[in-house]
Amino acid sequence: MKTSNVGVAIDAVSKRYKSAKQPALDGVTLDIRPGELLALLGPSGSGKTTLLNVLSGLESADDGRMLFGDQDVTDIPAERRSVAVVFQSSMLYPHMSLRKSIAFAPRLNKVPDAEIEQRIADITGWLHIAHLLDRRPHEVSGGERQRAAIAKALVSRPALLLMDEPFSAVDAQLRRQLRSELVKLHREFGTTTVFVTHDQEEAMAISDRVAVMRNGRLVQVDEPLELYRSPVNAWLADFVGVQPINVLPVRRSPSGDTLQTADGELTLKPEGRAFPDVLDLGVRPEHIKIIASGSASPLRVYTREVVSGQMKYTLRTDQGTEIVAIRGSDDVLDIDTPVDVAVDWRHAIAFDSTTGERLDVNLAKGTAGVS
Amino acid sequence: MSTRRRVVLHLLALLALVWTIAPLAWILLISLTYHHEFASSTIHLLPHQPTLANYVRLFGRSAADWNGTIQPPNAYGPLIRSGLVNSAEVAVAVTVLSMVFAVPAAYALARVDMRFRQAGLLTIVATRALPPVATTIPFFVLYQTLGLSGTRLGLVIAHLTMTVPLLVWMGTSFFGGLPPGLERMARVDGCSRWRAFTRVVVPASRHAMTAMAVIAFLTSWDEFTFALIFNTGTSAQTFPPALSSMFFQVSVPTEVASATVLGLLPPLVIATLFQRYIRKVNLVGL
Amino acid sequence: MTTAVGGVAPPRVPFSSRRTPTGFGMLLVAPVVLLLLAIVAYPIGYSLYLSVMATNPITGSQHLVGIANFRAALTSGDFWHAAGLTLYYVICVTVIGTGVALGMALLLRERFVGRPVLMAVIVLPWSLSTYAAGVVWRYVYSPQYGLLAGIAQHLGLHPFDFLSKQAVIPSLAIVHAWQFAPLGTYFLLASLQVIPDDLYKLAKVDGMGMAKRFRNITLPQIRMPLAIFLVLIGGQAATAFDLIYFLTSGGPGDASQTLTYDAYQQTFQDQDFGGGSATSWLLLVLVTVVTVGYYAVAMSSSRRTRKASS
Repeated sequence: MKTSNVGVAIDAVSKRYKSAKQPALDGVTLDIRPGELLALLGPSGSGKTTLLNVLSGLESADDGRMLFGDQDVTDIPAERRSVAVVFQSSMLYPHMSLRKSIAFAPRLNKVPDAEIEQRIADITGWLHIAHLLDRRPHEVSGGERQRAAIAKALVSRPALLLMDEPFSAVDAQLRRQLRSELVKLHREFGTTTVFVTHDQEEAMAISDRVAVMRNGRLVQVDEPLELYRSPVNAWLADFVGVQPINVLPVRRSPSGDTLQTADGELTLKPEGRAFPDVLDLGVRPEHIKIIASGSASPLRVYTREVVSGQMKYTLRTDQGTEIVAIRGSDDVLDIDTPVDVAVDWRHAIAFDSTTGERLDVNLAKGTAGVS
Repeated sequence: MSTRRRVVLHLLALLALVWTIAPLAWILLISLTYHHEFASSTIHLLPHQPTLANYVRLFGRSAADWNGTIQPPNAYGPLIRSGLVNSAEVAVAVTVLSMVFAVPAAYALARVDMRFRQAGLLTIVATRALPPVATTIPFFVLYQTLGLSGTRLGLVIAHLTMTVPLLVWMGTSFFGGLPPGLERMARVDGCSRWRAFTRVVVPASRHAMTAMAVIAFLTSWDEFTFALIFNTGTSAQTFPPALSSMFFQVSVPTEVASATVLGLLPPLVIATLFQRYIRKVNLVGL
Repeated sequence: MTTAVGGVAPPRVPFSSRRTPTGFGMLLVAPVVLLLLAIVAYPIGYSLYLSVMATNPITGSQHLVGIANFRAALTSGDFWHAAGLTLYYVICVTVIGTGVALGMALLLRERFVGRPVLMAVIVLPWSLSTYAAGVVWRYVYSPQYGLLAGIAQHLGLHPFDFLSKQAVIPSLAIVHAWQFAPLGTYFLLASLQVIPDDLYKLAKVDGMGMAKRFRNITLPQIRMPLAIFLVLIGGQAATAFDLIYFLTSGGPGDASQTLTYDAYQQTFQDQDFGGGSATSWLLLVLVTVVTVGYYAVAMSSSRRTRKASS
């Protein structure tokens, strides 16, 4: 069932809508590898859906070029581009049975009827909707509609499959199920896929690589884990990750061997790492170790909640500096318990305190372990 | 629900039913009555001797009167019959042409992301506000010069002035109600804009199309003013002016009633058959 | 199909997708615009032209008279008589039509035996044209053979002449309302049915009576559709012609000679195209002014209610 795949090259593509102040796409350059499942992640208004529309040919780019394989498709309209799209809503024709909807595109492309039947049987078998093919969209459930929409997209064997937040309208449990089915289908069919989402968890869960967009520009394109570990700026560090990252504005102490928060209440020991004098220190909650301490510590447990069987604590100083930390549930701390914290420096990230860009500081060296 | 309330409700419903159909039932009953019985000094609410003679005589045959004497065919039969035929021809032509003009325009104004959309829609709809009298007079003068007076073509054109803006307006509200991404999906599936319209949008809105066609047909069939002024007494005379001549020249109400019922049947049947669709028509469109 | 991407460059066909949306849309709209220019805009312009000309009915020769036709209309007693009748007629039709439409809509919102039947048959009067309604009601109103006269006879009552000088306008209005109300019923019913039941339950709990519930819940919800219906039926009534033609031909005397009928008579019986055009233009101005004014009032009052409720 595997098919040969094409890569997609997007070269300096720009688009500006009339009457819009900012361009929707601002010189986007991106290479999508053959057979890859790429998630296009970004907050609403970041340009990810515009990029998808330009890729599909439904909208034209003002500037730049796009190649599918070695063919320039920049001026080719949607209907001749060999793309399939799974839209956010109305993914099927309301007046047709699922079978007719699914067969519509290959039939237009004059694929022989027998082959269409064969393909439909294959795909709908995979998606467990073979028994629903004679129903209309309004006669099946939301999840079944989504499956049929995916079948419809795959049946025409597109060079590029585009999915525009396809699971945003279904409930959380079904969404997880559809996601894992999509990953399996992608393994099976290997179609080059671009999956648009604003949900970082979804993007990280399903994709080979994630392209993060903001204000019409690509912020970073990387594998999910790399994105999580080495975000290019503080905004992205905060955007990816289920729990918000701690970003502490700190400066080097006069003595030079510790870092202090602005209110001077917290002191961290970087153990010889070469920090600039002023920076924003990013540490994810799971990389902060809580050490129960004497009452002398300025940090106290402010709130606590259970997250996936672990405890998430919000710690707070009297001045209001907050740190979020996660630790196991064996030894639960009471509210108002005074605590000390230690940073796992290997996973800390240094950001420029004015631009938010990641600073090139080697955090791995120095003494391993906690302060 | 209390019993008293139920009784009142049903009485009101009965009243509504009587109010709605009694006038229609009455003209039907009269058309089934012999003139002799009709002309008697008391008014019979139900014909004592119901008969189809009035209809038979309209269709060019003789028929027995109440006392068995044979009555000749109705002299107005040919007029009424050709009126019905002309009305049907005009109404069908108007329906087809209106749809051909109005459906694509309504679609574009409702769903194509084009400039001048609001302006276009407003202009087209504004023409509907004109009372027919404002257009009858210039049409009358123009038709005399162009030789379109007393022709079916002339009447078809006049009816288009009413139906096309109406259908455009109706159509925009129908098309506007379709799922938003329909054409985008069709485009990705390999349809050009035009094909997306013909292969997907039109089939997806066939109920709406039916309603639009029905409205166009009824509007033309029922139109009186243009028909009276342009085509009275000509071979292209449609049913309304034919009935008008009979109505004002013949003093046999039973015969006029049967002719009227014949003219009412097509719209009544069509409206009943398609009322499911018509009911969805947005009032603003009419 | 997997690697063949895009295919050949598209030929330049009229409906190519390379065309901008505006271009495509224009192609679809252009026929209608051209048609309406030819068959609506041109006649209207011509009608304006006629209204400032005097046409000799025998020779057909025309000469410019400026606003003389309008002045003649506005200074003639006939015009003001007709205008007054038109207004009277519009008021009657609006009141009766709205009453019937709203009453039927409220009735059809309830559940009762035979509701689907009633729902189905109320479309019948509407599917008739006004001229046909005129003929049908001639048979209802006639003092000699009318349905109402027949009923009166059976009840031993003295028959009433519905088309007498005094009664003719309300009688015509009843027919107009009979024919036009079903549309309003359907329209109002659609708005009534979306009022949540909970609202009425809440009102009952709050101790509101039937009348209060209607005023405070039903009416605000149907204000807009009601306003639209009023404008429509009012405009219809102001330009009614065929009904009057069949039922009374403007009579008895000139008791039902409304502006439309007046324009018809001037033009097609007296062959005074200029006068007829002028009268119909004055009617159009009148209808427009009233409609726009009404819309303005309805809009501002609905905005006020929305503000008050938010």
